[in-house]
Amino acid sequence: MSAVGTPAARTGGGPAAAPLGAGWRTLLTPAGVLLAAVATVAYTQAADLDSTEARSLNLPHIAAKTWEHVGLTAVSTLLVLAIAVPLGVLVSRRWMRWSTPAVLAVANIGQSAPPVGVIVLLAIAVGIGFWPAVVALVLYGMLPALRNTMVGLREVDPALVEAARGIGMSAWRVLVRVELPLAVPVILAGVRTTVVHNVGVAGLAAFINGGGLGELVVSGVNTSRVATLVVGSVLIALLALLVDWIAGVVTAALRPKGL
Amino acid sequence: MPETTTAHPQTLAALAAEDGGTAGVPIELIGVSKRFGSADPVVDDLTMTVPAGEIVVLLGPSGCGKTTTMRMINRLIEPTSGRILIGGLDARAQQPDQLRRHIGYVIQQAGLFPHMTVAGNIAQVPLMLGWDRRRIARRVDELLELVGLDPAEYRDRYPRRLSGGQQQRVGVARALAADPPVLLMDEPFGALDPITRENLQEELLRLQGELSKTIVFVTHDVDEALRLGDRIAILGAGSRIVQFGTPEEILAEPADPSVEQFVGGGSSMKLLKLTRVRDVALDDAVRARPGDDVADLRRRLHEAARDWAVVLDEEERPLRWVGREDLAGGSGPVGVLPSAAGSRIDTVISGGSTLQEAVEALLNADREVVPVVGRHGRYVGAVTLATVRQAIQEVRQRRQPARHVRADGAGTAVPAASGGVPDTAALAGAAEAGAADEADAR
Repeated sequence: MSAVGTPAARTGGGPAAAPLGAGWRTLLTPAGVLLAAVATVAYTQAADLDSTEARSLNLPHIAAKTWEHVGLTAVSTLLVLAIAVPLGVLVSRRWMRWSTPAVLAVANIGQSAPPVGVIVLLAIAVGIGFWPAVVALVLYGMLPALRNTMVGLREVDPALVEAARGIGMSAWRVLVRVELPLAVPVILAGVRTTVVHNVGVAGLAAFINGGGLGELVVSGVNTSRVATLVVGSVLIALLALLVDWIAGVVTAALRPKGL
Repeated sequence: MPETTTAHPQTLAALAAEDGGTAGVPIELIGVSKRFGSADPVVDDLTMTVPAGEIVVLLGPSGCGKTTTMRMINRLIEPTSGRILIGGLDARAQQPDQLRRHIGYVIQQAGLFPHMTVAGNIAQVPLMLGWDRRRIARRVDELLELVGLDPAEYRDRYPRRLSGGQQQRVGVARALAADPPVLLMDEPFGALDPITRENLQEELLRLQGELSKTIVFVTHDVDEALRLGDRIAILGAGSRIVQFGTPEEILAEPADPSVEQFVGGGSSMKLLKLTRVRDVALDDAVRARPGDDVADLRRRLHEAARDWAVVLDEEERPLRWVGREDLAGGSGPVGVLPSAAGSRIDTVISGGSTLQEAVEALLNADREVVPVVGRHGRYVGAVTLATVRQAIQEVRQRRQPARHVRADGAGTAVPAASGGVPDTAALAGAAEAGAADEADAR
C-alpha cells in the first residue's frame, strides 16, 4: 500500500531514484565531489593562465559565481516548493480532479520548451538579471514537483482515507495527518529531480546576466578559452552531484517511519 | 424500541459522555433510500431496527447495497431520503465528524495508518476528542490488553510489522478507543486466512460479551453471519430485506427459496454448528458408583429399560460405561469387575460444545453415547444420536409459528416479529436437564 517507488512516481526521471548506500559509503559521493572540486580549483591556480583566463579563474571570482549559482538554485527550488506542493494538493482534491489534465499540460509546456528559449523569452518580457532567471528556473522546475505531488497523493490508499474519515477526521486533518505524510517520499523524489535540474539550468542564467557558474562557461565560449569553459562546466556538474546527494539525505531523513 | 431517555443529550457525543462506560444504543433506519445519480436506488426504502447491544449482520451478495447501508449510519454516505436514529438521536442533526468519533468503524484489512505506530493509530480518536497524553496512553494499553496484544511488545510497532490478524485486532482497538456505543464493521475479517478469521470471530464474541456494543457487521460469508449474528438481515437487491431473524430462524425457516439457496444446503449441519449442547434436552444414563452392587445395578438397568450405566467416581466424574452384558453373571461391587468389563470413558463433551462436536465425538466413540460434563468434570447427562436428532427437530418445529407473524413485511423487519426472544434463550427452554450449572451464557 506504500506510495513509494512505483514507476509512475518517478516520472521526473533520473537521479531521484539513486539509493543511498549504508554507513561510510554514504559519504563516498560528497568526498569524491569535494576531491574533484579541489583538484579543479587547484588546477586553475597552478596552470599557466593568460590574462583573460586569469580574470575568470581567480579564487574570489570562482567562489562568488559558485555562491550565486547556489543562490539561484536555492531560491528557485524554494519557490517551486511553495507553489507546486499547494497546487498539487489543490488539484488532487476530489472536487478539482477535473483540472488535472489542464494543469499538467501547462506544467509540461514549461518543461518541454527548451530552457534557453524560456530564459531568453523571459528576458525580453521582464528584463534581465537575477529574478528573471529565477522565474525561468521556477517555470522549468515546476513539473517534477507538481506531478509527483499529484501522483503521491493519488497513490495514497483510498481505504486509508476512508478509514480516516470513518473515525471522524476532518478533511483537513486527513490531508495533514494521513495523505501528505504518506505522499512525502514521492513528493520529495520530485523535489529532488527539480533541484538537480535547476542546478544545471541555472547555468543558462548567465545569458541574461543572472549570474552563476554559467558565466564561466559563457565567457569561455566568447573568448575561446577552453580552460575557463571546462572549469565552469565541471564545477556545475560537481555541484549537481553534491545537491543530489544532499537531497537524497534529506529525503531519507524526512521519509516517515513505518513505511 | 425503548428510547424514552432521549430528553437531554442532543448528540451521540453527549450521550456517550453521559453514559460513562458506554453500552450499545439502538439504531433505527426509517424508510432510508440512497440513489446515485438517476440509476436504480442502491438502497430502496429500508426500514430496520438494530436492537441495543446486539450484533446484527447484514448479509447479502456483493452489490446489494449492504456496505452503502452501513456507511449511511455514520454518514460517510448521505441518504437520499429517510431517517436514521442512533440512540434515538437523528444522525443528520449532528456534525458528521463529531458523530463518527462516537461510532467505531472497522474496515477490511484494518486500514491502519502505516506511518503511525500501533499506539499512534489507536490514539487518533482520543486525540481529536482532546484527551490528555496520560489518559490516552492509559487507554491505549487498556485496549491492547482487551484485544489480546501485549502493550509492552506491540505499542511502538508499526503496522507493517504485524500479521494480518494482529492488524485487525489493532483496528478493533482503534474503533473502540473512545468507547463508542455503536460499532460498524465492514467485512473486517474478509482478507484473513480461515484459521485467523475463526480466532478473531471468537474474540469478537468474547469482547461483545464484555462490552455489549451495538454492532452492525457487513459480510457476504454465510458461515460468518451465522456464527456472529444475534440477528441476521439477509438483503437482496436494493437492500430489500428478504429475511430478518436469528440464525436459527433463518436456517430452520428460510423466508423464500432465494434465502434457502443463499444460506446453502446442509442447513441441518449448520444448525448443528450453531446449537450448544447446554441448550438441548440431554439423555440421562443410569448412574452407578464403583461400590454399587452388580446385581442391584442389573436390576436398576432393567427397571430403567436401559442397556448401559455410567460409573462415576466420588467427584461425580464419569469413569467408564458398563453394559448389561458386562454385568451378566457377575457379583460384588461394580468397581471390582474385571477391567475388561465396560469401556473406559476417554471422550467427554461440555455444555459449551456444539452439537457438531457432539456428533463428532459420537462417531469416534465406541459406544453410541457420549457423556456431558459440567463444572469440575462432573457428569450432567449424555448425548446420543437420538438426542441430536430430536434437538434439531425441535428447533425446526419451534420456528413454525414464527412464519405467520413474519408474513407482513417485504421492506420492513422489526425484531419483535420473532417475539424479541434472545437466540439462545429460545432454545434453552427444553434444556435444563442437568446443564443448569453450565448456564453462564456467552
